[in-house]
Amino acid sequence: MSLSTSEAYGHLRNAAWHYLSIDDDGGEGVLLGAACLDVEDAFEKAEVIPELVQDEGSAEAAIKAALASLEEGNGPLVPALRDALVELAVRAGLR
Amino acid sequence: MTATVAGMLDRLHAQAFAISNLATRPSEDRWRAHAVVWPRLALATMRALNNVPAGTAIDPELVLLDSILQPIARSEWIPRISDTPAANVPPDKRLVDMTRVLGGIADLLSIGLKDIVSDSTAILGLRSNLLAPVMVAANWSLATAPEVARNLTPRRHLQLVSGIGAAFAFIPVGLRPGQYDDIAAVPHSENSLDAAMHNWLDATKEALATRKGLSGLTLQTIAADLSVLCGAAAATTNAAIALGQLAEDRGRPVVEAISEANAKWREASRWPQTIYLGGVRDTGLADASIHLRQTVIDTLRDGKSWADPAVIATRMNGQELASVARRAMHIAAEAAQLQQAAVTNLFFGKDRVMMASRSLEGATYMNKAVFTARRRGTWIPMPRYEPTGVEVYRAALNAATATTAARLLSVATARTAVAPSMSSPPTAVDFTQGRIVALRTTTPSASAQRLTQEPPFGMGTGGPGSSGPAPSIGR
Repeated sequence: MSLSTSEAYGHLRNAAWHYLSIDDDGGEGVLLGAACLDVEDAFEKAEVIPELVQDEGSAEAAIKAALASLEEGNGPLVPALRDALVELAVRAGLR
Repeated sequence: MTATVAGMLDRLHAQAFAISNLATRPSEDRWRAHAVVWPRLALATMRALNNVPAGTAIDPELVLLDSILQPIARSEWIPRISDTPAANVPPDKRLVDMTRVLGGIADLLSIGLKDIVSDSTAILGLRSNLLAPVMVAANWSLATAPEVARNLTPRRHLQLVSGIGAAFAFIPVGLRPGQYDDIAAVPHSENSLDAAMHNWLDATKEALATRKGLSGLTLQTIAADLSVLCGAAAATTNAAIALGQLAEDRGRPVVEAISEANAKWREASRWPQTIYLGGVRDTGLADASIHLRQTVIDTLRDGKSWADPAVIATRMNGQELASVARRAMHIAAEAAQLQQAAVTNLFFGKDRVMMASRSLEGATYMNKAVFTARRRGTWIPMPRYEPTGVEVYRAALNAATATTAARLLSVATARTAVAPSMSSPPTAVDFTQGRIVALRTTTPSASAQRLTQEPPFGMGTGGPGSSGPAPSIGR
């Protein structure tokens, strides 16, 4: 897997951090955070090792950054990872 | 369908009350139909009583009950009548049904409640709920047994059962509910929150038991799911309060405690970017986790917030909401302990979490390997007691502690807040809140009057005539 895929994973980890940091009992933050963990699992299955990346400041920005990183990625599993990220973006209301 | 101890007690007491209102005359055939069931009935009762976790090692009450029920269970209570021609009398179906229900309760009680200490009130309440219907059955059988010499010994045994049962039936109904009522047998294939929670707990235990499958993602997922579980328990308790199933002053502190545990699990679920333990999640856990979250969304949520209490109650198909919330907290507490133990082992045991070499600070750690890793920007094994790791460990510890505390508060709501009241020895039974209770007065309550007009359970002998379809029996 390419560096950009590792960067995408890094951004995804930041997105999970931001969602799981939302301090409310409404439950939406933890559900979105757990959804990020589901996508992280897909990256692990593809044997991607995360890269330390610049924190984009919010979960939404991190997901966008992850998608942007994957645009430059290559490898047979990248389309599946992109699909998983897009699904997450839809769920988060970004698409 | 999920079967709970409370639900089975409802059925047992309704059966007993129907029996208590039968007009019965002595009859040798009917007596034999009863006598053939009693050993099994006594055995099932003993099993249920013995499966109530005792508060003390020596329990004189249980010894006494055992000494009364054992001879019947061992069929030593009735002389063998070889000279009497054996009439082909089938066992009385109502007593058989009571035996089955008692056996089912015994099985459920054997599941127990992990790490919950029995208190005397809860034990007494459950024993009352088990023995009051048995007293009714004994009285019925006594009324059926002809007063002849060969029935003298069995009658004395049943009188003892009736006597000890009456002593327990005397306990006011309001004092009887307890934590054991919540124990449930959940079919794993059922589409319910209970089933999703139980499946998730099984998957979590399995994922944490295998070192091979343990990854950072596994631990984060379990922590996030524990937050979801706590959120579900809080929302369900809130709904119970809003619908008047749980008093505000008793329920609110529970909701606050659960919310605190929820917040702490969210904290424990987020690992900083600089910590990493690679590896996929256990497949079973991944599936159970996704299913749990989807079930919580389907059952308890409406869009991006919690659903209206009335909607939640409808989706729960009439289950007692506070009871479901307590079960959620039992499961959360059990998983929390396992999760915390796994995290402790991870940060202080043999396993090693990886850390971003560039985030490593402090001259103590700086050696050639670290310098090389920093130059390359790779992951290195986290040094023991590295502050970031200690923080993650502390977050899990705090969350587990908060969950245990919330669970204990939640368990306390299983008991109703009623002041005990005592009256003189019982002369009749009544049906109050779905439970047999011994009363001084023979004037039946409204629910009792309704039940006496229903057809009797099963196909036993005697009983009032049927009058149309039977309404459901409320607790």
